Amino acid sequence: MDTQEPQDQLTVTPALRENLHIAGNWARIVAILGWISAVVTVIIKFDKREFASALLTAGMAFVFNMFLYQFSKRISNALQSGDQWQLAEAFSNLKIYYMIIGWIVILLLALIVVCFIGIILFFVFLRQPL
Amino acid sequence: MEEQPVQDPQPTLAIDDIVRSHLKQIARWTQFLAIAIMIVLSLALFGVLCLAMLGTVSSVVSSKYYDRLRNINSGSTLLMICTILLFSMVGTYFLYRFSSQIRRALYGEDQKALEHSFSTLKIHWVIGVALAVILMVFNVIKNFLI
Repeated sequence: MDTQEPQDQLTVTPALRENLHIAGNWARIVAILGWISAVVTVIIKFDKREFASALLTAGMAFVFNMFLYQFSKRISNALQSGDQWQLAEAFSNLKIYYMIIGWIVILLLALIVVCFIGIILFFVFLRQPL
Repeated sequence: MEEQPVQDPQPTLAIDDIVRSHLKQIARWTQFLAIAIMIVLSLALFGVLCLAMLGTVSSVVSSKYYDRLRNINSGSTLLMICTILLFSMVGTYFLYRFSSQIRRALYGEDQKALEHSFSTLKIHWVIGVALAVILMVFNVIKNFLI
């Protein structure tokens, strides 16, 4: 009796290979532009003597653009060498990039909600007679 | 005569379980990001429209609080902010499309959707690059040239 092994139906076809190559190149541009933008922001913030904010911006921009740059580099290597491990690592880097941005967005949304509640409570207590 | 094996000019890569797992996580995070960013952008656009309406009202009734916002409530500035917000919304829409195409590819074994997904991600990044360049130029002009 023949036993068929479960096969992955999705493969890296020439069309996907082409799109991954172009996406990888654009990821590199986005990462480099992110670093340039961070440097410009740091210069502006240093000019205004906002040192803590400048360091935070620079650190964050450097870290998450590094993952995007790694995605670009590894996807390019994987497509050239056919290394399956590099392909997996490339997507792992893209996942971490979006995870970091996701957590930053969650923190910012939480901060907005807390500020909003704070403003409402401030006006509620302001209206109450002492 | 011994035949030489024909070499594949492009090495073969597969969407194995590890890649599949990473792609699922990417789809989940990009979907969340697209929805969250779209909500924030919609609220910002609503705020800008409210500010524009406030400008019309305040031309009749002056307020000392509104006077502080008067410098950003000129027609050209509001138009520029609205354009940037709308462009950002288009970029976010492509991020959402990327996420839904990845999901369709993984859950429905749709090869075409997987191929199109990275083309969609490219469009999202192109819009992102254009916006980042525009914002950076404005930032430099605002802080150093004016």
